[in-house]
Order: sequence, then structure tokens, then C-alpha cells
Amino acid sequence: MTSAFSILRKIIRPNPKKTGSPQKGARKPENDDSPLLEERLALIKNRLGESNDVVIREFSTGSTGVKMAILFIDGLADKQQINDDIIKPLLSTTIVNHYPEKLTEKNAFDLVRNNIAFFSEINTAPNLTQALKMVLSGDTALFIDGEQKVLVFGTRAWEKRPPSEPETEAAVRGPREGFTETMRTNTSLLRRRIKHENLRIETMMVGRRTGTNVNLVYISDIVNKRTLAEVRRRIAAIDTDAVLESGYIEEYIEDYPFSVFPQIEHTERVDKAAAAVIEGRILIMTDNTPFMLIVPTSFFQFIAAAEDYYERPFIATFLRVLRLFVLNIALFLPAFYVAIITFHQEMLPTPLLLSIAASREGIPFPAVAEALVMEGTFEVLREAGVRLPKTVGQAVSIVGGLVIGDAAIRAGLVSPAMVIIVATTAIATFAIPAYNAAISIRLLRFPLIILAGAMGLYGLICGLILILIHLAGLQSFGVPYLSPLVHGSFEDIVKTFTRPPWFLFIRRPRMLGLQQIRRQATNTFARKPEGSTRELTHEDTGQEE
Amino acid sequence: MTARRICTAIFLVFVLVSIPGCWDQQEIETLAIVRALAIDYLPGRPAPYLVTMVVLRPADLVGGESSGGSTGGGQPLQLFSGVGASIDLAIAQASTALSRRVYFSHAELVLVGEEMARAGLTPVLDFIVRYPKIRTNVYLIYVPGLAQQVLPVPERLEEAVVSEMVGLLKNAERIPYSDPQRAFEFLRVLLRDGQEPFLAVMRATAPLEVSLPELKQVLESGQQSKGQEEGVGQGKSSGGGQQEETKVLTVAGTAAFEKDKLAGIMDAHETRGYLWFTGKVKNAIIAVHDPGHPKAALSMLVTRAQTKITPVIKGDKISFQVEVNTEGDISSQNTTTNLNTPEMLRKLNNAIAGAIKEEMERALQKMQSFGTDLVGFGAILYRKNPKLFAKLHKKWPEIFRTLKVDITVQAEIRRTGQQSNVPPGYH
Repeated sequence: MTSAFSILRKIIRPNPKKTGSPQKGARKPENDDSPLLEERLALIKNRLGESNDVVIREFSTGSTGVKMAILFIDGLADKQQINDDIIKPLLSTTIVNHYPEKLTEKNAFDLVRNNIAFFSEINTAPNLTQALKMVLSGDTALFIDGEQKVLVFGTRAWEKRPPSEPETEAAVRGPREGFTETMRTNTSLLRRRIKHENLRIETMMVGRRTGTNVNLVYISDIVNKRTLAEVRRRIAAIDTDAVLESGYIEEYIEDYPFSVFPQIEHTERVDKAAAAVIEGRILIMTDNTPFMLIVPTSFFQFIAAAEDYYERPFIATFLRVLRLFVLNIALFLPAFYVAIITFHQEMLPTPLLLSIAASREGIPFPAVAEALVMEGTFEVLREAGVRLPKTVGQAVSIVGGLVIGDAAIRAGLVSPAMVIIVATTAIATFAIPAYNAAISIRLLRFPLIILAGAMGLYGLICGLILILIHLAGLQSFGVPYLSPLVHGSFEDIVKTFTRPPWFLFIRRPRMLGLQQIRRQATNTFARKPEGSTRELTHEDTGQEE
Repeated sequence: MTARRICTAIFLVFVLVSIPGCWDQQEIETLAIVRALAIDYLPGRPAPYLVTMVVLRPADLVGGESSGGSTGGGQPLQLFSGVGASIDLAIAQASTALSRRVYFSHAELVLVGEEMARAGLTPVLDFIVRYPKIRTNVYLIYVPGLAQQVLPVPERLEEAVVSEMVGLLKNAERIPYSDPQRAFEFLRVLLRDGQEPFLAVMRATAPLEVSLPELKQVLESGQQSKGQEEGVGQGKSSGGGQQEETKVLTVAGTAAFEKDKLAGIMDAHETRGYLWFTGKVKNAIIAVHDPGHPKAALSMLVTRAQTKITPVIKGDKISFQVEVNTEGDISSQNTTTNLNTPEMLRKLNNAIAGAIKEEMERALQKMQSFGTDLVGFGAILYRKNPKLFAKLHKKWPEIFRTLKVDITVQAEIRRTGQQSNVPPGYH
């Protein structure tokens, strides 16, 4: 028995093993860098090739004719700005000769940086390799003949999508701004919401070929430092050639990659991300995607919607409890129906049994097969609808849902009761706010139906227990997945299943182990005029008689 | 490593699913859902038990696919009978005519016939309690004559006759003319010392609109009927040549048992008299003579009733004191007498109390004549004085026959329902 259990435990809860050493397998930079402009330019052409978006502009300036060259990528850098604020002052003799010092090769670097260029963000790259990296991100490099160091101007500006309403997480009430694909826009969206000096945005680069920027966002005096270190360590350990979406990062850093349950929440909503950061979680922003990761994550975050915090507490609480109920429906309803219909008919009230018996009369398949086929068909319909353009998608749902469904019932292939069950389940699935959690639940439905069809409620309960054991074994960055149920204060549990009014949100979640747990004073609202309990009258308007 | 684990997990789940197979699996469409059982005893036969099962045909139910409603199809209920030396043997024989597995979990009624009741209900109770699928909360109902006879009676309001019967019994619980018992209730009383069990009585009779003598004369003279025998009227098929007997089901009256054997039948009014002893007389309508006009009737609807039974032990003599407290509203009055005077109310209260007392005494007499202590005077005595009852308990039926019971009734009219005084000179 013990060995059987240990095998079972091993299966259910594999040990997360992380590769310890963060081997950055990048090539050594070519060290044939030389300060001479001609050699440098030859080298650049060699390394960047003949790509037509690479722009190199050579010129000489000053009375001594210092040779310089500008390098940028067309489309990533702001050409207008380069013309007006870099090239124009450098070529303008009035400006260059305005300074008492003569522009020579020796002082050109400092003079340009400090005086001549009309530019706010000027960085220094120690060598060509560093400069190239920045240029490939949209900056502009200025090479000066005979100078090893390279001036780099922050000219990043490319075509970008303006922030628009997040489509995957629409809300009736709440900001309409969502993250975009541009990292700088995204950080600005966050900064606008958290105007505090301790908001930290830390950059890491992941992906040998894509060189994707990954930002860690947190508030330095709230965040759990061990969690932060762990996030840094796991991201640094990623050694891959490409990161094109935050999903890549998610799979590399999550604790149990072979679980069906998502262990990292993602969001497109800026307000949700900001709320998570303020709550003490860490936001992982990936360049070129609007989806930001939030760690650590617990399972119950998936039943919370951003809107809960903007609507009135009672309604929000009701909706949250409803979602929890709906989650169970989405997971268990078809399996439960199959179990009852094929094994436990005595559990139904007699009139219900009679209606179901009447509707199942003449159906050629057993209930399990019926349920599996119907659920499968529904998944196909859904999948077909997702990929199609919106206009065609409607046709699919009409043909698939209405025509086939109706015809199947009329032909006596499926029972109306089963159609009701499958439709209810589908609607319940849509009511789960987090799409990634909803998919896992859809997936788990099938084994549950098989178990219920083979062993009735006994099988269903077996399946439920297996799922619960698995959930209880999961962790996300050191926080149990089922917290605060398994590891948290009573207050946290209450806040998970209800949404108290804002003035009662006194503490941050205890399970995160934060530096500052307190959010606000116990009584942070003033409703009545100070010093009196009576209601305001017109005498209080300050008018004197 | 992980791949191996996943393989093991899949294998284990596969084993979990496949080893028990589909044990006990039964698709709903392979079940013959038995909705009621009628159990009769045919004395003199070697296999005396006649069991008739009422099996539902789902295809004929409204909402069934094949026969679009009840119009085209036949009866949603089908009867299957079998005889045997025991009830389960009889069921086994009936099953040979069934295309589906017999399924008892949704049986709601067990009807027992007169001969069965005379022979004793022990085999029936044994069947209900022992057979795991049948529930002990089925209604156990007594039918005079053959229990089977009430099954082909056509349903009137419900979709099938069994639903009609269940509806009748549920409604009968509100009306104080019978007290339908479920199997476990019967069994509980049966096993109790000093109390005897009873069952409600269900009959199939000709409806009053055709069986009332006055009406019958009118109908017969108008129709020139050809040789109708018993009180039988025109059925639904009066247009056709075939004269069908119209019968309706009624639930009224009580079959009193001594142990598990039938002792006698009490009619609806005696049953109500008995129910006063238990206090289950809500909605009873008590009719008395109008104090102002002795020929006119006036009635009270009982809204509250409370009964207290106390044993009085004086040496060897045992008697019982029954106190009834009841309240009610005037529910009908055929005269214009002003009832809203203290004196009139007092008269009225006394008259009603007298009527109730008479009713109770009649019921008590009947029970004493059967020698069946349905009220449970013995059990009450046992609770008061167990040692005394232990001595008497063997001869309790005999003692009960001559038991002295003092009945005092307090009745009170709460609302006369008179909206205004009658103007003088109205008469």
C-alpha cells in the first residue's frame, strides 16, 4: 500500500528541478573592434550584412574636419529627431564654432555629448558590440574617428498600436486602456498609475536571437525579496534562442510545467497589473506582447475579475460566489449527469426521472458516449469559431449550434436533456473570467466523464479527489496554489470568497510574506461632518444671516 | 523520467477504469420503471400471491420523442401481473413478460387488497423492508376487494393514474377524512406496544354526478338506457355504442388493523372522529344547527386543534381523560342571525363542542367494537406507568373494548365572518 501511495504521489507531484547554473551561451563578442572609423564601418557592414534598413551616414565637421558616422535602423529610430537634433547641430558651423574649444578628435566625444547634441537621453557604449545591440533596439550610434567609446542616442520610435480596450478582459466599469506590444508604452501606463518612488522596473534580456526585453516590476519596500530573487534567478536561467510571447517565459519559470492548471496569471489590463504590484506581487513584462505575467499566483485569482473591485461590494461578492459555483458546474455537470443517469437513477426526483426517461427513449448511444460526442462537438465548434473572421464565425455557430443541434434531436441521435447539459456547461465555462483556467477545466471534463461513465459517482469522486490532491500539491513561487485556503489568514480567506468594501482592505495577503502588510489605517473614511453627528442642513452652507 | 511517470499515471487510471468495468451500470432506457404495486392474496391457491406492477412506458409520456404527446400513443402505464407462492416469486413470474429490468426505486404506492389484509400484511412489509431498491416511504394503501381493480381506472387530472393516486393521497393529508400512511409509519406503529396500525382506504366508485339516486332517475328517464345494471353512468365514450363504466378514485376512510390483520373499516366521518384524537383535523368543517334557526345549518372551519390525552389510574381502574381545544372560523351560515353577541357565541361554541364530542365518541365506539386501539391509549399508559402496562399488555385489546374515556371539548369561534349587522326588518 505504502509503495502504491508513493508511486501515486510521485506521479501527482513531480519534484520541480531547476537547472542551477544560468549558462549564458552567448558568443564572445568579436574583439577586433578598433577606434578607427574606416575599420569600424567595414566591420559593421560585415556584421550587419547588406540589410536595406541599416542606415550609415558619414560626415566630417568642425574646422579640423573630424570624421564621424551615424548608424541607425530605419523604421526603429526617429529620423526627424536624428536630422534635427543630432546631424543639424553637428554640421552647423555656427553651433560648432560657438564654443571656445575647437572641435578635435580628442575632445569631440565630450563636446558632442555635453554641448553640441540637442538630446536628452545620451548613453555611452564602451565598444562596438554594445553599441550594435542598442542600435538594433532602435537607438542611434555616433562613431567618432579615433574614439573607442560610442555615443548612443535614445531615438527609439516606431510604429505602434495605441493602448486600446483589452479584448480578453472586457469590463463594464473600469479603465478602457490595455497594455500594448510596446514596452515603453506599457511601463508608462503603469507609472501613470503608481506614482511612487519605490516602483522599480528592472530589465533583463532573454532570447539569444530575439534579445527580448523582460521587465520585472515591483515596489521595492513591499515585495518579498526572496520571491523576487527567485523570479530573477529563474528568468536568468532561461537559455533559449527566442521569446516571442510571455507564454514562453511562463513555461520556463512555472513550478510544475506538467500540470494542466496554469500557475501564473496573465493580464492585459493595466489596472489589474497595477493592483497586483501594489498588493506585493511581481509583474513580469515581456516586450512585444500585451500579456503581462503576475507571480505568485493562487488558484482563486482565476475567479476574480477586475470589475469586482469597482462595483458595489454586495454585487461583487455575489458574482464571485456565483463564479465559484459556475466553475464547479463547468467541471462536473456532464460527468455528474452521466453518473446519475447510468448508475444512480434512484437519486432523481420521480417526475424528473420520468421526463429524462421520456427524452432518452430511443437514443441509440449510452449516456457516456452521448456526453463525450456532444462535448467533443462543442469543442470543435468553439475551435472553429475562434479562428474564423467574426462575420463567418457567426455562421458557424448558427449552423453548428442551431441546425446540427436541432437536427440531432429530431433525428433521435441525442437526447434534449443532454443538449441542455452540454449547453449549460458551455455557458458556465464562458463565465470563468480567466481564459487559461477555463481551458484546463474544459480539458479535465473529459476524463471525468469517462470516470463517471465507468464507475458512476464513485468514479466522479475518485476524479475529484485526484484533482484536489494535485491542486493541493502545487505551488507558485513558494506560495501554495490553493492558498489562502491552505496557508493564509482567516481575513485572506474572507477576502477571497467575498469582496469587502475598500475601507476594510486593511492588510495585504499574508501568504505572500511581504515586507509591509498594512495597506491603510483602520478607519480611513470620513462620512459625517466633524464633531457632530447630525445631518448637514442649509445652515452648514456657511451663509451668514 | 517524467514521461515514465505520465505513462504510469495513464496506466493506473486505465486500470482504475477498466478493472471494475461498468459494474452496476444501467442505462435509464433499459429500466422498467415500476410506479406502483398492487398485491392481492388469492386464498385457496397453492401460489396465492398476485402481484400487479404498474410500469411506465416513457415513450408515451408527454415530451417523449416517438409519439409526440399522449394523443397518438396508448396508456403511458402498462400492467404486468404474476402469481407465486411469495411476492418475489410473483414478481419473477411477471418479469418474464417484461422487456426491461424491473426497477422499483421510483415506486410510490403499494396497494394491498382485502384478502391480503385479512391474511396479514407481514409478507408485504417483509418485501418492502427487505428489498433494497424499494423505499420504505412508499404509501401503503388498503383497497376493498381486489387491489388490482383500481389500477385500470382512467386518470383525470394527472398524466397517469399513479400520479393521480399520489396526488389524491397528498391532498388527503390536508383533508381530515383519511390519514394516508407510508410503509414505515405503519411498521413503526405495528411494532409499538399498546397501539394498532391503520391504513387509508382507496376505492374506485362511480362518480357522484351519475350515481346519485335522484340524478340517476333523471338521466335514465332521459336516455332510454338499455339494461344498465349497477349505478353506472355514461363514460367519456357516450357518443359510441360501447358503454364504458366511468369510475373515479377516492381516498376516504380507514382500515383498522389488529397486529397485521384487518379488523374493520371506518368510514370517512368515523375517521374524522378518530383524527380528533390525534389532533390532525385542520381544515375540518363542523356543521351544527344555527342557534337562531334550529332547522338551518351553520358550519365552522377548524383552524387549530390540540388534543391532550391523560391516563387516570385509580387503583385497578384505568380511564382516560381526553381534552380537545379547538378554534375556528364560521365558514357558512344560511340565515341572517347576528352571531356577534357573547351569548350567541357561547351557544355556538357549546353546540360545536357537542358535535365534535359526538363525532369522537362514535369513532371510539367503532374502534372499541373492533378492539383496535388506533389512538394508542396503551402506549400513553405505558409512557405514564410502564410497570402497570407491562402487567396489562397481554390483555390490552380486551381492556380497550371496555375502556372508559372521558371526552371534553372546548371550541371557540374566532371570526364569525359577518361583515355588517343585518338591517332590522330584513326578514
